[in-house]
Amino acid sequence: MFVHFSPSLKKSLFAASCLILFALPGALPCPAAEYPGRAVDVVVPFAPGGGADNFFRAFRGALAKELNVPTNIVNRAGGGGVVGTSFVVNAKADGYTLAGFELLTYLTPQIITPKTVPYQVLKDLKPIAHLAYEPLMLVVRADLEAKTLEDFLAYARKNPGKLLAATSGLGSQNRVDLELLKVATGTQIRFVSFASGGEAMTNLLGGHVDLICGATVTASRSHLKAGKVRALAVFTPERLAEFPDVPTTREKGLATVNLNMTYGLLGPKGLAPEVVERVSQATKAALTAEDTVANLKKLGYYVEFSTPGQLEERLKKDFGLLTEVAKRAGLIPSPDNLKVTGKQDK
Amino acid sequence: MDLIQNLFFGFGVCLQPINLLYCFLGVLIGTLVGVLPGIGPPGALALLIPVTGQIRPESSIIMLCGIMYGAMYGGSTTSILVNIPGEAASVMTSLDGYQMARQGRAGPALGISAFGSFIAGSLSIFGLVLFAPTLSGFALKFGPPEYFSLMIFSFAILIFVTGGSLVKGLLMALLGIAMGTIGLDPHAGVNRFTFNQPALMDGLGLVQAVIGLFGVSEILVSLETFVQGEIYETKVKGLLPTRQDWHDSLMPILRATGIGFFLGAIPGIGVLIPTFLSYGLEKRIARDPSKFGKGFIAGVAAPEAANNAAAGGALIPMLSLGIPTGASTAIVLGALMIQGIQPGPTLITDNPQVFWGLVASLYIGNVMLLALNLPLIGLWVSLLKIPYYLLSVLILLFCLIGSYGINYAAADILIMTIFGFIGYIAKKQDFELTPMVFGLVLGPMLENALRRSLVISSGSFAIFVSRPISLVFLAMSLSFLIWNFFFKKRATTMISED
Repeated sequence: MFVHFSPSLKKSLFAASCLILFALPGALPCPAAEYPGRAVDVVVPFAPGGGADNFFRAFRGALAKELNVPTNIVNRAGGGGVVGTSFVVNAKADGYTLAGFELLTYLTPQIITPKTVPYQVLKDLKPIAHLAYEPLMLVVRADLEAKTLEDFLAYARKNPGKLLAATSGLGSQNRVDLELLKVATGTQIRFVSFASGGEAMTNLLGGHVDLICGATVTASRSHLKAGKVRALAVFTPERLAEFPDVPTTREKGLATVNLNMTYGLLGPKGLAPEVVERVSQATKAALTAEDTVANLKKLGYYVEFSTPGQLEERLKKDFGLLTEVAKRAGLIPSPDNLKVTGKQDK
Repeated sequence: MDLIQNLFFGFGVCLQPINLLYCFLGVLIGTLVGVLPGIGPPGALALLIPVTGQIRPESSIIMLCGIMYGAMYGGSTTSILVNIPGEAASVMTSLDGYQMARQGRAGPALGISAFGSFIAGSLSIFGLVLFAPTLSGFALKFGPPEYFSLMIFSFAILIFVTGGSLVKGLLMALLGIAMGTIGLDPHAGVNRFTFNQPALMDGLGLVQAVIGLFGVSEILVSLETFVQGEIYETKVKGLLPTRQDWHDSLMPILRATGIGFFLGAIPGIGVLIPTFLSYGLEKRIARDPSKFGKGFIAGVAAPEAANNAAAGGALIPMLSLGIPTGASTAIVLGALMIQGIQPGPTLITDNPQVFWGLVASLYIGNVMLLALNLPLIGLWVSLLKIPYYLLSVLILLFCLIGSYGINYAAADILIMTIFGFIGYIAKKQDFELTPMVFGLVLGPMLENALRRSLVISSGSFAIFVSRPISLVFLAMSLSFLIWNFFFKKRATTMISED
């Protein structure tokens, strides 16, 4: 019944069928590879060990679980966040390179030193998600006479230019919050710039400065508990459960002093809407998982999710607000406000 | 006694097999990272943070700190063998270490650096345990005016340490300071010489500069003569330090340990200044200062002991106050915080296994490093037998990888190359390179300290003399300069009168 195949014919048939079998998958129309099909990089534009880096590393695991692919933190420090951010601006818009950002440090370089920023903050990156905020507090050295916020402000009003605040750079949170405080209370407080929040705290502990208007809870916690510094106010809308005795700026009538560290995700400009949606959904799921929330809370981060649209609105609004503050506080360098000797009388 | 009990507890934690493994991994990675130019402890630490999330806190801190002081052991290897410091900490070692290698004494140089590092590391453990609270309180007293005076003191020592022409040394230092101004002005946010390049906003970068100045320039110089054979004609004499070497090095090691530990505990000082000051001190009090720079073993032993002691001292503010002293300690603190451990005054009571386990691991880690490094001396020395035309290419390759690996930025390779040419010209014209490195590091620190101090004092210069610590350093600088210029002259006139 069977046709007799000669050995060489058999071999050829076998070879031909192998070829067809292997070629087939390539010839068939394949379904579009689901995003994400491979590992995703979150670029953090700061050095490891810094506040922003710590947050994204803490959040990374939850995000990876929701995206179902390995998620890596890539550090590209430099230029106060500009180097890492421009890296993502120029990256391929395929969704595998995302930018982790901190709101203030993202917006302020363009306001204060626009020539050094090779991108437009509101246009060249697509907002994806707002993730969490880290509360900031007004902390003073323990041996300062003022024991409460009211005493402190009274002292500041009576002695203009006597108090000295430590800040961590021109556009840093503690500088901007200090300016907001000065505007809201009409006081004159001097400031000195250090290279990082850690250095600012070290100098506060050593008594070389009087206050930090915007220290993170994580950085201050052990010193507060040891009694080396005192917290006079916190900039969140509600009192912190961990420090119930520390009033909020809102309840003391200083609601404008409300900038905390805010963390979120951005993507390159041309990111496809499906990809944005997918990441947004993943972050939402990650941020609502109970253990993630508890874990982040333990580390001092309070989750707060926003959709891409809400984040975009927020960025626009904060950009306008910060431009105002910068102009009024003289944060934008000009020959007038470059004083070498440090006499700060505005 | 409480201390003994705690130490036993710590050893109990550290001697668990899993922690021994992490200790070994840490010191091994640290040594490798130290040997390779460019990639320093911060790079390795950053890569390993995700790993630490999976293991217990005491294991991760044992491993991470192992990397930190392990790198201090490894950094001297390339300094001694091929005159290319692995990091800033090893710049001083290359001065005498490389000369020793040229004389066929690379083995003893590597040996004394390993032993010196071991002695310093072990002694700094005692310092850590006994003096942590007092020293951290003292370190906090260093505000901007004290930093300024300390920098002035360092510059005064520089004048003395510079071998060769003083004018040329100062010229290089000034050039270094000038190049150190490149970047964002910290106080007013003005761009200085950055030409709006984000890559330059944080300054040129010390590591790229060191690799370029020392490494690339060395290759460029050697390109001029076709080197066919080995780089060292003299036979390698012996692999371990001799009795005479020990006699010359023991006291320098002990003194350098003190200086390094003390200064390392001050946040932000870094490792270059302790190594520099200890070298300067040894040269100052030596019976025959002219031996330094020509291959004198104390010139290797002192900086090596100082940098290990400084690494130990840097742990004090980190552990007792939760304050980072530099990039590496900042990363370790971050890793601890991610694991939910709160660094600070409460660390020792809330997490005793972390603190005492670490203290015990410092000793065990140093023992491991000694055991690791001594047998390797033979291996390193035999590497010198590779024909130079091959060795130089390998060195250049490692320099490229090292400088690119810092930030994955092509700009860093360009910076390294430019410094390479600067170093080449300097070597041809007999200018010393160390003052330039010094200027690059110290210039920005000096300026920042000056400006911040003036802000604090609202413009008054009196702040530098009204604060006791600052006054002491300034007085020391002044007396040092006076002694050098007047008494030295008298000494030479006395000799010429004979």
